[in-house]
Amino acid sequence: MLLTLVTFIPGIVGLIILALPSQNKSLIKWTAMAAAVVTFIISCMLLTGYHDQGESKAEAVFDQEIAAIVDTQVTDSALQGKMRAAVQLIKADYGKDGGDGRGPASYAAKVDLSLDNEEIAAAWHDVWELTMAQGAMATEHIKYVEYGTWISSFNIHYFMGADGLSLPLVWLTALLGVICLAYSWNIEKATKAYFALFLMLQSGITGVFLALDFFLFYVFWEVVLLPMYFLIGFWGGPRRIYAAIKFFIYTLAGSVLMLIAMLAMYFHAGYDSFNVLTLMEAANTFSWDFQFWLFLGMFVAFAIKVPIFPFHTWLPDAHVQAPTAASVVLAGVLLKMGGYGFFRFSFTLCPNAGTGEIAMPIFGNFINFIAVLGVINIVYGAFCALAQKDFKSLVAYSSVSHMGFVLLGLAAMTDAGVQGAALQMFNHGLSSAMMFLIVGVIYDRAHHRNLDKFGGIGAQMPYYTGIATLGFFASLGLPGLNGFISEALVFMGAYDAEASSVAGMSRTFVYLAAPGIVLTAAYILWTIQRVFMGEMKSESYKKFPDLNFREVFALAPLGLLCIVFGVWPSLILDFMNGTLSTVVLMVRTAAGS
Amino acid sequence: MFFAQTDPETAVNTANIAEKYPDIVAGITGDIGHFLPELVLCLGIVWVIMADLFGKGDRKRVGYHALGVLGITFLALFVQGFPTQEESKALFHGMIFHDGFGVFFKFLTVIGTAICIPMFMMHKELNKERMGEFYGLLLGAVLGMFIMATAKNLLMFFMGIEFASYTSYLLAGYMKGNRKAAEGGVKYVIYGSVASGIMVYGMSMIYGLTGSLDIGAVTEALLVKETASITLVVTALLTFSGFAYKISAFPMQFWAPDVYEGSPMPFTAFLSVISKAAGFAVLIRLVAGFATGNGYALSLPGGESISLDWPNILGVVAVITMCVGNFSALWQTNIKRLLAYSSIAHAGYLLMGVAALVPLAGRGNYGWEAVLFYLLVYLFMNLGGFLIAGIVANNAKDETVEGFRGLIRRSPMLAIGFFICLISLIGLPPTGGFSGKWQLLRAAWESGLHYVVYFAVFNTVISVWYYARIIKLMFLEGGEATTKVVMPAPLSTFVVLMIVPILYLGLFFNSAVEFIRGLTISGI
Repeated sequence: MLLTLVTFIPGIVGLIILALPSQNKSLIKWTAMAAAVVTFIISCMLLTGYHDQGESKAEAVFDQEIAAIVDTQVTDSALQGKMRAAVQLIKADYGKDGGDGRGPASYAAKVDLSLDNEEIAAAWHDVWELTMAQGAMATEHIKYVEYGTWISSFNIHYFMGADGLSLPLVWLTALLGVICLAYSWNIEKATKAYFALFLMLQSGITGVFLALDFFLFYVFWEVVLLPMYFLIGFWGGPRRIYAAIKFFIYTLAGSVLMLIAMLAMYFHAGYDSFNVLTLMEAANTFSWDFQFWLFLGMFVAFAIKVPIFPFHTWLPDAHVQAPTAASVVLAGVLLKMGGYGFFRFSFTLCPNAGTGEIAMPIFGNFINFIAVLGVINIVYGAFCALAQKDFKSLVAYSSVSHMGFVLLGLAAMTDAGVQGAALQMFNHGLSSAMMFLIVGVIYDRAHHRNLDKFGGIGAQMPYYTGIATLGFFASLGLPGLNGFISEALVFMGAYDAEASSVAGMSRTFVYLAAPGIVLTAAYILWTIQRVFMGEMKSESYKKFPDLNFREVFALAPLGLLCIVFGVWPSLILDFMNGTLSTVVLMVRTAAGS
Repeated sequence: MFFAQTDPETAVNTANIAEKYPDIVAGITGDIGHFLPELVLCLGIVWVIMADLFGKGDRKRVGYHALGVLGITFLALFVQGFPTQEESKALFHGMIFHDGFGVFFKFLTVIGTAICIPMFMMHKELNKERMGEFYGLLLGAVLGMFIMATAKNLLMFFMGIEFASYTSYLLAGYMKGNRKAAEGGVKYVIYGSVASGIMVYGMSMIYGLTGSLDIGAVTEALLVKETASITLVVTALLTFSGFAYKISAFPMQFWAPDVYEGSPMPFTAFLSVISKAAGFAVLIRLVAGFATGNGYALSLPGGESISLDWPNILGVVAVITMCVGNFSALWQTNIKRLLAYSSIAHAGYLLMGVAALVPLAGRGNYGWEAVLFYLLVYLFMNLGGFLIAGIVANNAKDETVEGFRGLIRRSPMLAIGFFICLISLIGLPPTGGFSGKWQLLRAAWESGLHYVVYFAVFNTVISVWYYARIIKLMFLEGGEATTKVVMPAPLSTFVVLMIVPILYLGLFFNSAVEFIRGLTISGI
């Protein structure tokens, strides 16, 4: 129930807001805020309850479902016996390859279960699907589950589940929801639509992180598109319409490829299943050729979202034009949808891509491919950031650079690397959100973002400068702040990869990526210097007030969290550990098969 | 024997027929009960003309009579219900199918036409003409489509198509004073007659090859005879091009934009949805009949063999049709023309499902289910789109997309409604356009037509460009809050009634899918 609430409360309240009178702005704002706060509280409950959940909830729920199907839908006791026997056969095969022989039909044939009757065939398909899902390695960490039938004619389920990877991201989404709404308190242009769209956007993103049915995932993935299109297109800067349509078309182009990957898996060997866990278990049977295309299809969809060079060009446009709060959500959690996709789908559904066994032209294998792109993202992003005159555009390119670490950590495919990558996503969610808020604060006062025209803000706005510096240093990766931990883990994992991961990513990539750190320090320090130090370039800056309550409310929690997770990273890593090590383990066990 | 043979002597003397051919008469009188909706329509055609002649009041009122006739037809269909497996049969000595598939299309036609009638009644320019004949012709077109959807015999197909076409020619050019309408009407007649000619030529060759015009018999004869000639290929292609014209598929799509632009907007809506649906009904029956098995492998006299590879022929036609539609739509500024090209693109998407009728990989066969579902969604999203476009164009006195500028400030409801229609036409969740297109893609993928799927999703992305242009105009572009669009309450309710099914079919499409799966279909 909690998962449904955390996903749908914002969206439904968003729809209710549309029905409120548009003159009563404070009612609209407070309703939206109440929804965001309630959602945040629920996400906190999910997080704190996680470790107390004990065994995997998913397995238990699936057991119940199987029992229900076998006992009620199948009346003949001989058939029931055959099905139970077949279930045992599936369980004996967990983790094995078995070619195409792991589909529902082949198990039915093994126990002589006739599938001529449509109802029996449908019941057996569900039993097969659930039993397979139980076998997936990821299942054991899924502590919250909601499972129900949605479109039974296509085996589409309302299947939501949360594990250590999705929960922190859901929490981050809920947190940024509250912060963004608070920061948007001064929006006067079409307030009603703004707050409604914001809440719908939050619903979509939360759904993406929680959906474990591929069809459901795709629906949420697409639902995110339109609110963001409007947020950029209506409340954005001068070139907002261009940026909005570019965002729309880029993302859609990627997601249709994911749709094809989804179809291909659905029809593979008669599985007829969208259950991600079932597909993970079945992934052992996917041929390398199939995995190659599957990985590539999903890769493009996720790469556009992350964004990965050369698909990143929509990002600076979107960020520069978007209103501050939309930028915060965009950088904070929307980009993480792509990263999350790599963890959740790419390497678990195409494990042999992670082992580096699948050949790829030019790059040799997928691990090198991702590592190369990761290094390009890190270094190229940092160089681009250095060259920017526009403050917001600089922060946007810093996002490109920082997301490169996620790729590098993934390519390492070691425990440390993958944990670092996931933690980097989370940390970047905090620090980039903070940086965009910082840009927003100064833009609200100066009405420009030209870095060369600032200077001397430090003396005028001391509190702002203090908190901004904290945010910048978190992003830079200063020890003691959160960014350091994740980048250090990524480098540790990547350095170790040559020796201990299956694919053995070359250590050269670490050497190539390392200058990125220096470049990051360069553009961040240079920015601090240009904005806060030196002489004031304009007299008008002397009238700038320091942070007001709304801005402190938005910035302070983020700053605090940057310190907390910098000092005590295991707060988050404890959630992610188990889930992420199964990703590595899946890839490792798939090696050679 | 493709129709009852009549001896010229006895034909004159009707009294003798019953004595001489008791079976035939009994067959006809026995089956006439199943023909109730059609009979209602026949009487209705006369009724609306009478109502115009003898009634008093303004011209709009004839519309209510037409609506009433459709209401009674709906009731008749409803009373008849969807025939079960036992109830479905061939009527009138194998001329007409009585099955769930046909009844589904009849319902679709009646509901769609009933949606169009209020739009006709609101159309100012059109209502300067005499409306009795107009609605009479419209109901005639509906009757033609009923026959198209249920015909079992090629001759009946031809009759149904011509019945629907001739009435449509007249309706397209009905606004006599309007140059564009006249041009559209004339183009429609010329293109249409040529297409019909080609088609009927193809049909005559089929008769020559097989000695029959019954679809079932033709199929069997073709399968058994292995008619070793290229004639069959030519025949099939000739026949197909007639249907391609009806659904505005490549290479017979040229007429659509001009006719759509020239016709009164509600009639454009009628053509693009209802007429197209009837065309697909015919196409599905024929393709399903002709292409049973694995298409045709024909051995030529020289020992070579050519195969008439239906899935790929239709697949390629689908791809070209959607590309032509989408790429031509990119730069259109007239809303009717834009929606015309968009409907060509959608014919391409739908053809994907027809191509998937013949499973290549030997697995299940969901092509026609997907087509039916998509047509159901298409009915609401395209008619809803035309309805709103009509209101907006009337209000702005501008039939170009500029009429939509800043619509959100003039009428939030229309803007949001049109927005939902548009994202459904693009195929984004959570709308019926997504669930429908997804089923078409699924069917095509399952039949092994992977390249069609690639092109279809690529086209989806392309189509965003022109649909989003209108979204942009409605929501994002300036335009001061000038005059609000004032709508009477019934009209607002009408718009809402069109929009709700789009969302419902997008989120909870299970029952609709189950329903369509349960339909009986003869001839497949």
